[in-house]
Amino acid sequence: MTDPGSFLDKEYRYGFVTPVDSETAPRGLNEDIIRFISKKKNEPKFMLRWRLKAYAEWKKMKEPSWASVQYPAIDYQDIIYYSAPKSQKDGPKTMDEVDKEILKTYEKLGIPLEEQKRLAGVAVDAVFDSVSVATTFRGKLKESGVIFCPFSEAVRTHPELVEKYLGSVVPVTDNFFAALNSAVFSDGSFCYVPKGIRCPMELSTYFRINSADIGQFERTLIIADDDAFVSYLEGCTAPIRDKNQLHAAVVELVAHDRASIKYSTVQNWYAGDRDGKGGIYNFVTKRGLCKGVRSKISWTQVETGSAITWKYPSCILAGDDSVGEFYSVATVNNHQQADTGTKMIHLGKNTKSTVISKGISARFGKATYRGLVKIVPRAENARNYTQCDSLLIGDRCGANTFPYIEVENHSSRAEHEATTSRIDEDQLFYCRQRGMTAENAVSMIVNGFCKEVFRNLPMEFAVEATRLLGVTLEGSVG
Amino acid sequence: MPDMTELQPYADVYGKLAPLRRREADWLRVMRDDAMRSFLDQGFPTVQDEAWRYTDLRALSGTRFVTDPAASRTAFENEKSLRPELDVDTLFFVNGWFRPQISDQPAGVRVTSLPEAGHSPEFLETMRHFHHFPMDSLQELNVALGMGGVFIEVPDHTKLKRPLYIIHWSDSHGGLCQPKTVLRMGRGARATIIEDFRGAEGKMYFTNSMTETFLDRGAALEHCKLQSEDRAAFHAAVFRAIQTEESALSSISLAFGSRLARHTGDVLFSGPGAKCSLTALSVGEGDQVLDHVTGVDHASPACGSEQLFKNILGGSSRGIYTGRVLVRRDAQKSDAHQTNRNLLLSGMAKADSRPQLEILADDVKCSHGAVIGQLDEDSVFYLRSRGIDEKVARGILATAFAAEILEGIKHDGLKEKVLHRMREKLKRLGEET
Repeated sequence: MTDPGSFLDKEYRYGFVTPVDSETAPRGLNEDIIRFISKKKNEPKFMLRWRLKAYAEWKKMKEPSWASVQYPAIDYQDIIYYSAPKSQKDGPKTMDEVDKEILKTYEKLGIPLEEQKRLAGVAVDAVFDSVSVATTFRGKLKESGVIFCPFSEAVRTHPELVEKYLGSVVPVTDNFFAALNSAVFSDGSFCYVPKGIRCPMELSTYFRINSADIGQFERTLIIADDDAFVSYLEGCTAPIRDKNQLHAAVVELVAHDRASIKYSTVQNWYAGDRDGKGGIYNFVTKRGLCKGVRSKISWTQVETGSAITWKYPSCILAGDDSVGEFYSVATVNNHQQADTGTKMIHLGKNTKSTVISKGISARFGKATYRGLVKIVPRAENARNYTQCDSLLIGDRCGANTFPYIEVENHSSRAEHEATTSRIDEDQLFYCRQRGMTAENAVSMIVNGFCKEVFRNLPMEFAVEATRLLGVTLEGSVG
Repeated sequence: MPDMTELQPYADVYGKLAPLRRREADWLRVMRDDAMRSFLDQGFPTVQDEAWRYTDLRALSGTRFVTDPAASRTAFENEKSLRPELDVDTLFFVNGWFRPQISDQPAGVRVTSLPEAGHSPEFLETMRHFHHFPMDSLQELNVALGMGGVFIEVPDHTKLKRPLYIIHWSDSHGGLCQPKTVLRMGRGARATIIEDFRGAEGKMYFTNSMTETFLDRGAALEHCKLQSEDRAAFHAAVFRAIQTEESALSSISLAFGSRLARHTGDVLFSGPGAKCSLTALSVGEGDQVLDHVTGVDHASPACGSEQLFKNILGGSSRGIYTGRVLVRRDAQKSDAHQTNRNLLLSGMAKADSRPQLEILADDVKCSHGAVIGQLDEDSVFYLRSRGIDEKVARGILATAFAAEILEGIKHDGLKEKVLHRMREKLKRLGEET
């Protein structure tokens, strides 16, 4: 192969801009902007107070610099913190009222809402720039008692739930980006699954940044009450722009007694061009709280996009016998940088966690796994297994592995394994001598490398993920 | 900001040592001045420093330790009782000062004490290489105040018949012992050195040692460090090696003593084809904190590094391992493996493990693994079913766990000695739990 990174090359298929009139806030951030956002969203008082508190905290904080990523300083006063498609002002009541242009955008993305309507399966909440555009299948979900709606709506219709859980897993003081998000987040998804309910379909959110210079700050809150189950999918894209755009989301999950939440992400934000120009800065805080006994939270992520990814979906295993899982594939090509991993905090007895992380670096890409497994003295009989493997393609890329393992009692056990290598010459040779092209062979080997993680994705996403990673070999004959 | 009242005693000692420094070479004086300034700027590391996250030095930084130049001349009587009963050449350090009078003159090797060595071009040439390594403030302190050291040269193609046994004895209460050993191995030279750190019972002193080795092409060094300091003492030591082409190093660190100990092993591969093996065993009891840090820099292609670090932890002791492997761009065909295994024997013991890989080349084989766990209950049951009582059974299994490290010691007499010290330690551990 002349250019080993080329197999990961793909024209960014989602780089179009939709010409929709949008209503935006002026550039910059101050208390007035926050009041503006809160007012636009018609929020109750407690929300504004909460935002302003977060803003006050944020002003006191310093941007973290410990991650293995490099980027020019971000001017937080040069970002537009709110942008909404104008025609959406009154909110669509049915699918037909949704702006045709927006619907077209989603069609291009491959999630035609119209089709979703017919095909029983996934209920989608689509977030366009900063507001939630449409939520499908609401009626059907309502029948089973599941609340699934845009965050801004939940704030009005279920303020008691929002007030109770918002910030309970990721407090406003948690970190720089979470505080920023808490102050300015404009929308996102809210989901509440009541006691004993198994959510009848996969829930899904599609995020898209459309306007230039805006930062997207969405907030997702999912609560599974006792014995409930929900599977949630998240996908993201953005148009091609030369300037870097900021995306700082917060996701909070709460699982009560015996509840189970499965959260899957296929992140495909625009990654910048071959020379590393443009692309999204993806600085995300995701955390799940296994509050109840025998609860379970499972994170699956496929990170292929973004110029910089900085995210650590974590589990706080507070309930006895609770389970945390983290499955991740992070691919970096060209000048992408990813610093990602997880934290498993074992607080309850007999808690278990599994971490499987696969990193693929090509060309000048730099992938870092950073993880913490902490077992406190009272977490008796806790168990952790961690495996993180890195695959290097080309001699200019890099892979780092920084695990932290802290065990403070002697009935628990933590295991960590990691390997770093390039594609095995023998495997490649074997495929080649069976008549496969070099790209096909590499693609197959890479897919095999990631299989353990893909297996945990819901069907639709597994297909998309595999396609994102492998099928894009066209035009890169080496 | 560092607390000046904490650091003032060190600044005072530095002033006191000025007459000694005046006898040294200019470059050495400049180096000491820079190091002192840097130490006073930084102060002692705190848990806020990422590298010291698990090792709290507050008990150390709050105590005034002093280096007394007079200690370099005081009479020293128990020399005989300290001599190892092994077929070795012995060098003595007392309270951090090298004592040539009572040390052996090993055949075929040049041993020079530090102020004197400072003027030799070979010493300057050797020291030049070590600028590569990053320094933390404890190491700066050693460079600034470590006056009593030794420079050992093993000429080209010399094979030392007998190991060099360096005894570090400390008996001054509140003493700051800062020994420095610089070893230059010529081309194809072979040697074994043993560093044995011990102290008088009940004395609270602080050993801050630095050992720097340079391995010329094809040289082979076996290094074994025994740390059996008194339980009241603090211990910090750094072992550095620069490995040029085809050189080979094996370094074993055994941490049994002191209340807080940190051993840092830094290796730089500056030529292709070099190999190193870093291994360590810590056995912690009571409230001991035993910390091991490594940094292996694969700056040249086709080098191999192997690390195996084991901790046996009883009481409320804490074992820490931080290992960093850096494979630089173009250091192809690198082979690097890290393993850290921890055995927690009591409910209060803690283990922290941070194996880290930074890989910037693609044709490499790198891996790491870490396990924190306890004795296999099935194995205990097996032994008990054979009529062995529980305490003994656990002792056998813990010894077996440690054996893998001790196997690495090639000198039989030394192995026996270490085994004896370890058994004693494990016995105390068994009584504790």
